[in-house]
Amino acid sequence: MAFNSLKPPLTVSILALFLAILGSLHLMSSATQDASRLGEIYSGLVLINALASLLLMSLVGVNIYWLIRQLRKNAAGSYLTARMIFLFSLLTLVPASIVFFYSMQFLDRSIDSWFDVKIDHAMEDALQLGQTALDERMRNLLKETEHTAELLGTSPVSLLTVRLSELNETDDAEMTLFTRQGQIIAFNGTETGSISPDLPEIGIMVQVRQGKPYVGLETTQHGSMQIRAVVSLIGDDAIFLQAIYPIPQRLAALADTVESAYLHYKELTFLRKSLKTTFILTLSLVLLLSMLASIWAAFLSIRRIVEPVRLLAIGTRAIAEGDYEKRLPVRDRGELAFLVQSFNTMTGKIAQARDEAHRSKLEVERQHAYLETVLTNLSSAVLSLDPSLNVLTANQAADNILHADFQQYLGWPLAVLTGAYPHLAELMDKLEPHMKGPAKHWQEEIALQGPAGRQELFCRGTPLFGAGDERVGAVLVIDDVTTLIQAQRSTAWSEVARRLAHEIKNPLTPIQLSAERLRHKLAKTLQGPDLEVLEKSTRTIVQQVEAMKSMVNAFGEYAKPTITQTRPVPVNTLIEEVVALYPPPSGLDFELSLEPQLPQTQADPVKLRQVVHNLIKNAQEAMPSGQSGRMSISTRLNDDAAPSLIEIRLSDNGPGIPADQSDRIFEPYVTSKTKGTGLGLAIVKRIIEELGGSIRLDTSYRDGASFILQLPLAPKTS
Amino acid sequence: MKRSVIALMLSLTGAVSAEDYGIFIREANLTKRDNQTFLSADVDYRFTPAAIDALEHGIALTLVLSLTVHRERAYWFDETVITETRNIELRYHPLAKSFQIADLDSGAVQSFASFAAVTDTLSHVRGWQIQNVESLDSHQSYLARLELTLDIESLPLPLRAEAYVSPNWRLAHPPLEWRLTP
Repeated sequence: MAFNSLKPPLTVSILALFLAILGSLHLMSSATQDASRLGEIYSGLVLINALASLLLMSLVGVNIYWLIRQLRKNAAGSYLTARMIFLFSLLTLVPASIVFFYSMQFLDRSIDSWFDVKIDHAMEDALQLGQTALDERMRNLLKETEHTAELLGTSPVSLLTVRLSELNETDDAEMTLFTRQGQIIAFNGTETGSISPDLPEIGIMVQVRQGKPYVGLETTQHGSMQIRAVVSLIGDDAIFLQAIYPIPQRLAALADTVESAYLHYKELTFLRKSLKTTFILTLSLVLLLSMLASIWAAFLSIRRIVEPVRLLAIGTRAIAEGDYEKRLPVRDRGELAFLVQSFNTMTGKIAQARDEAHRSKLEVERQHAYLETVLTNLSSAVLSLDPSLNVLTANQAADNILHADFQQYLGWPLAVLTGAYPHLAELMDKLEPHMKGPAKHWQEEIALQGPAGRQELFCRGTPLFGAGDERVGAVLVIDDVTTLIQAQRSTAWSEVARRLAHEIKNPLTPIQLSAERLRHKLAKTLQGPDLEVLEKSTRTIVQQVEAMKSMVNAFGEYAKPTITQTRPVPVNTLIEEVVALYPPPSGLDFELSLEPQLPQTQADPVKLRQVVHNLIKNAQEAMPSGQSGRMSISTRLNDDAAPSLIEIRLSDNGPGIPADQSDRIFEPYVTSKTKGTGLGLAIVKRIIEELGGSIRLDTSYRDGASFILQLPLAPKTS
Repeated sequence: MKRSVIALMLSLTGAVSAEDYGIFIREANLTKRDNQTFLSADVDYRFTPAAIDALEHGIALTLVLSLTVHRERAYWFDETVITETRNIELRYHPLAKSFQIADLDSGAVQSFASFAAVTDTLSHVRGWQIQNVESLDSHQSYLARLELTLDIESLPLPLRAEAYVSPNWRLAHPPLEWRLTP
């Protein structure tokens, strides 16, 4: 934060850079315009501006590279940035290029307009005029000098100095006499003010030595003009005379003006092309710099403008991916910032709504789970069906009661279900009319012939209606009331038996006693056929009463609540012991398949023995007389059930039990046999149920009768 | 633009191959006379046509003759102990049709009828007194470097860019260096 506040704002630094560039450009263009002091730093300025261009170029390059990478990555806001940059650059480039083009044209023409053939000629002519005037003067002065040399040539060497001053008395020239070796013999300087004579250069001397006099115009150190004439003395070519004549001031000034103007014009003509090049260079640099600077500034400002849009794009993408916690930073004020702020509010509300939806979903799920638990633990089978009778839900009890795996058939029509479980076909045929029928509550008791034997089912149905009173399906509740009905029957029979024993057994003894007393009294008085009749009748009465008594006793046995004392009993041993009591002459062959390691059952051994006896006897009695039967007894541990059970199966090859009796075979006096009391199986069932087990007839067994007993396991002793 | 900048930089570093034109220092030495040291050098001038053309069009050319003496240092850049410079200007006077050599330091002027006479005069550098040579340490090793260049910066402004870049103006050559033992 502190660092941020210390850092100059971006706009200020950009402005400073722009001002610096502008300053350097201005200096450069000023340097081009006139030959001021700025001219000295022109090269440096060009270099600085070129470097600035390079810097800006690399900045723009980096930005373009960044933009291309953003575009490749398909980054948010990159397309908008690219389009804006393109537009911006185009808007800068086009007018600048037009201005540049016309400036170049203008520059070219205006520089060309400085030069004119006429002026060119005039300049040449002026110079020639000047040269002619000076040439004239030079010729005259040369003649004069030659004349002086002639006069001096006749003088002896010793008088040369005197002669020279004499000859030069009228002139203001500087005259020097010197030898071939450059040794000065005489010197006569008047107004030049020079102390030592200025001897001619070697080139002149070479010329003069060859006998050619020299005359030439010179510019002095001080900028004034002078004419130098060098000749050799007549008759003595070892001594030379040099005369330097100053040019009159008026003439010198005129010549100077002409020369400098001519030179200036010449220079300009010569520099014409270079000047254009320089102007073009300067102009190009100015254009390039300002273009690059504006493109760079465009990058910076567009990035700032696009920033909120980019943030929004990122935010929307995050929301599309399900991240509702995304909040965008609000940096500026203005419409875009307002948009960002609204976006933040929106995401907040979405997140809130999502949380609420999540909460209610959890609540619904919890309730659903609770309902599921309730339904699962319900002992009644609950099925729900849609209007086309497809199974929608079914609980665990439905699977148990109807012996079908409903979970695999959820969403399938009932027809498919009955295809997989044929034993349900009859039931469903009976239920269908109810469910398709009038929309009202119904109930019915239906018998189901399932794999576990006959079951009495109490079915209730309720049609379901949607919000618009349309039928959305039905709920089916099925209770297995087999046990209940059997218990009701058992109770009823017990009551009957108890009544019978009480009501019938009591008068039997007086009847028997009375008949015996009658025989005892009358036997003495009667003789012959009467006595026979008496004997026969009373015997019949006594016998029938005995029979009745035993019948009532048996009934009482059935009705009497048995007091059982249970303890762990080894089932296999018990069966073997019972079977041992039926040797082969008894008319039955036994086939035992007993599972070794069979756990013990919790039972009263006496009662259990009676059960086995009863069942064997039942088979024995069912056999047609004179025919030997076969009986197979098997035991196994039934692990499928929970808790595990001991299963005993007793099957014979007798006539079997008629199908119409199979569901009531365990009720008293339901028998297909000619012998027996008709209570054997009823007692068996009663004992087994008292022991906590169950017995059923295996209706799928076709070779005779087959009973399946299931007994609980003895609790494990620690 | 970019290319010209690079070329400009190359020309500044002086990486130029030997060509037909240029200013070549053939020979140079320092001689002691009367406890004073004088430089003599022989220079071969081969001005490019462009330079002569410019001169004849009234543009003054400035030649810079510079002598530097360096003390060699193994651990750092060489130390410059003596720096002497002479600036010579060449001019043309169309009226007199003469060329002029002006010593910008002393102000002395010499006129010549031909350019050949000018280069002839300039090619023999004699009796240029160099100061402070006596104070050099005789146990040290020194490197003398004599350089004669055309001063582009003193050319008229429009010509400078061209002079920096164009081979028509390339007169500079590697300086003459020789080991000096005082």
